[in-house]
Amino acid sequence: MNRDNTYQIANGLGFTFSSAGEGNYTSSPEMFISDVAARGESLLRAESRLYSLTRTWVRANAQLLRPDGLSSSSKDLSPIGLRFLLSICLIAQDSDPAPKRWNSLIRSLSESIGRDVIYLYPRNYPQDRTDEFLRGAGIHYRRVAFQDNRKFRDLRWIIERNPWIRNRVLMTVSARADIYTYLSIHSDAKEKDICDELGVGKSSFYSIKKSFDLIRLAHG
Amino acid sequence: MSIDVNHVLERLNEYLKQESVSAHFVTCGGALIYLSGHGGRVTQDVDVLEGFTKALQKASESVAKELNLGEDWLNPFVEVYVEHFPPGWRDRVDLVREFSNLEVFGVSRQDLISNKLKAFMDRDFDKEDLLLMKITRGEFDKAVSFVKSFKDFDVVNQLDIDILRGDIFDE
Repeated sequence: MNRDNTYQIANGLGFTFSSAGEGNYTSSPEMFISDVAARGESLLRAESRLYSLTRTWVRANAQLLRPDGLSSSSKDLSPIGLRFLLSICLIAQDSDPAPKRWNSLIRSLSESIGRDVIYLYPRNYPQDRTDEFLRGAGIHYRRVAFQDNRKFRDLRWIIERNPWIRNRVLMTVSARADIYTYLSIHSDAKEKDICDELGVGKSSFYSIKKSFDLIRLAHG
Repeated sequence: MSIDVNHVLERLNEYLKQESVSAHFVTCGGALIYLSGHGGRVTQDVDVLEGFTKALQKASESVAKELNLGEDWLNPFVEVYVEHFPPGWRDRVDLVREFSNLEVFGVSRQDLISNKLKAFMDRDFDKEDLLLMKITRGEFDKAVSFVKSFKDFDVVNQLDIDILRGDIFDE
């Protein structure tokens, strides 16, 4: 995902980056979050606003995310990218009404990064002034504030425009909803691409694709 | 959601004109950064540091209704942070937009920078505004002197400033 695309995908999720124009709805929220995490240290330097806004968005919308989708979309992340992803997952777990959904992914990410601490701020910076979510991901850095929720469009706007979110609301947050969305956007997509990107097995894919083809037939 | 600052000020002026009243206020924050020529800076409100009169409030409610904005898009609550601006800021405000019935003043560039540095003490993302404004070392140093004048300034804040200086000036 190139940089401009990331900001367009963000606008499709209700962010309001004026320089990015209209929203782009071609990627799942998890692909977006993984792409943000992939930026690594730049999230605390030149793109601190993107990071704080993404954390804020995740805190407000954790219940609409798929941890298994993040597991799949994060497989190519660098070690530092995994840490930033973990920090975001910790925020999601903290605000999700069903926090146990995140246990497996958080455990897996924690095992991947190990017990080392990366110091992106001086070691003598007091622990109680560091960011708790970055700390949980083994990154020592000062506190990163959340932003005002008014910086985002409301959920109704997002549901009206973003098929990923709309279909998750309609069909529950599930691989089923995402396969339907993916096929709606990329009708010629190959099975391997879909399964890899969405983190679903072949049998789930074929079962849902069959339903999707029937619906398409029924609607002409 | 973000607002079109120029457009909302134009509409505000129209409603003041309809009521045959005039108003002026002092703004700061993201809206002022936008009005100062940094068009990419998004904001969800226009801060009113001083001058939030009943006439302005009534006009802002009309704009909110017309454009389907939150009722506090014209935000008077930032008045409580007036001490987070250097003393004498009132004498240094600049006229940034002028309409038939509305004058919008902004705190001076230096005062805005000083305020943003103060905000950075609590909110890491304010650093981006300081980067966006391409502040000079002189401006940064003046802002640091202001921030150090607060009683709660401590060694940890000094560390934040030292690191920020390195980030901004690539040291």
